[in-house]
Order: sequence, then C-alpha cells, then structure tokens
Amino acid sequence: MVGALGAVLPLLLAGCVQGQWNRVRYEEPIPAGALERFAIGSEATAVFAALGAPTAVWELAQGGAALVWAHDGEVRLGISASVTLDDSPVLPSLGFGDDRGRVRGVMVLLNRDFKVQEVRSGDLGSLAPPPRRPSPE
Amino acid sequence: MTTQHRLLPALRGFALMLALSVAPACTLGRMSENEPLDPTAVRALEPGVSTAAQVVAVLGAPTDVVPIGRRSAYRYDAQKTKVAALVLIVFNMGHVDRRSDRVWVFFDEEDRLTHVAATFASHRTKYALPWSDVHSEKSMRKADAKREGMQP
Repeated sequence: MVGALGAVLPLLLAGCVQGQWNRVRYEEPIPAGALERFAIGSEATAVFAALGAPTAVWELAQGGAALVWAHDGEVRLGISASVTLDDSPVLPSLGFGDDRGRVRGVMVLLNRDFKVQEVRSGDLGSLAPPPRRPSPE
Repeated sequence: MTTQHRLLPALRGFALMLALSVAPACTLGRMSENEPLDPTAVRALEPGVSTAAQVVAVLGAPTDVVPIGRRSAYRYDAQKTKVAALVLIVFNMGHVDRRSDRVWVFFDEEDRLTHVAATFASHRTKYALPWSDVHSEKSMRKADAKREGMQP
C-alpha cells in the first residue's frame, strides 16, 4: 500500500513541482599554466602552441588582430512549482547557476607584427573587446 | 521463513521495477557539423613554404576568411555535440558536451602561410550526466589514443 502510494505520489506531484539539474559544456577550458607559456612581446606562434586555435579572430581598428578563446561550463539547478489560486496560476520558481555559468575566455591582442601586445582573461562579457576595423562598404 | 528472507525478493522486485521505470527515461542525442579535420594533413602544412592555394587544396574551402591588414586568416572547423538526459518526471537531468576541431591558418600579403593554430577535440565529446568529469586528463588521453594522427 505504502509502496503503491510512493509510486503514484511523484506522478501526481509532477504536475505542480519539478526539479532539474542541467549542465552545458561548450569547448574545453584553457589548460592550466597555458597563459604562463607566453608573455607581452612573444610571437603569435608561442600563443598558438599554448592555447591552440582561437574561437574567433578579428582585425583591430588600430591594426593587428584580436584573438579569443572561449569556453562555457554552465550548470543549472532549479525547482519550479505551480499552484492554482482562483483562476490565475501562480508559478514560483527557484533556480541558480554556479560560478561557471558565464562564458569564460582569454583575449590576446596582437600588434601588426603579430607579437603579443596585451592579454586579458576572465568572463568574456567583461573583457571589453577593442573595436574592429569596419568592413569596407 | 525469516523476515530477512521475505524482504529480499521484495527488494529485488522493487530494484527491478525501479530500473525498468528509469530505462525509458534515458535520452541520447548526437549532432555533428562539418567533417572532422585531419590532424596529419594540418601538420604537413609548412609555414614559410605552403601557399594559400596549397592549403585550400589540402583542407578544402574555409568556413570563414578574415582580412587582417595585408594579412589574411582562414578558419576551418568541425563540431560534435553529445546530449544525454534522464527524464524522471519530477526530477530531470541533462548534459550537453560540445567540442570542436578548429584550425586557423594565417597568410602574409603574398598569400604564403605564416602561422597555423590547431585544436582537435571533437573526438573527446562524451555522453555524460551533470556530475561527470568529462575534461579529465585520463579521459582525453584515452580518446586521443583512438584517433588517427593524435598520437605524439
């Protein structure tokens, strides 16, 4: 009797309460110590040997190039519940992503001679990408 | 018959029912974009020697071309995504793992190859659940050993 109730109860609850645990991984994280394998003034070859192929490349307005390596390790945990009060459903939900919920990355700026001019790392959104050279009309 | 003997078949039955009820809740999916790149072919490209025409003859048409002053950069890529999900009605779990093969080749103003940047990771994509460590050194080495051209 108790077993049958235990089997049926989750099915009944599913209509109003649901929990989820999702993880999305895009690309591999930057290998540990990779950023120490090159410095300001290093040739682009040293950067590629340490970090591999960038996710994106664009030409900088002042000349040279910006290279970006990005990876995402998003984790989402959440509970959602719905209760009907009068005629309007109330849908409270509780969810959070952990610290890896943001796209992380490394941006390397190369000068015209393809030597490292600047290195930025952290959340990709906060890296403040330098302006691109506008496309010719 | 002791209590323990009576409980054992009941527990077995419960475990079997649980396994049977969970099995149909598993979902697996795989998506691919472009053909995987050939590490051996990429390694054969010689900066200072190979030309843009030779690179295109080996790797085919690039996915993207970026002008950088008088230089230019071609991108080649291929992606593989594996999705695993367990839908238990009241509690659902899912995992998405996407990795790429990606090659950037850079040319000077005379279309001669100057730099090659390569990453080969599409073969490391795994079906997993959220708590799995899919980026462990061991797991990546194991996957590398199975792919032609990835051995050191």
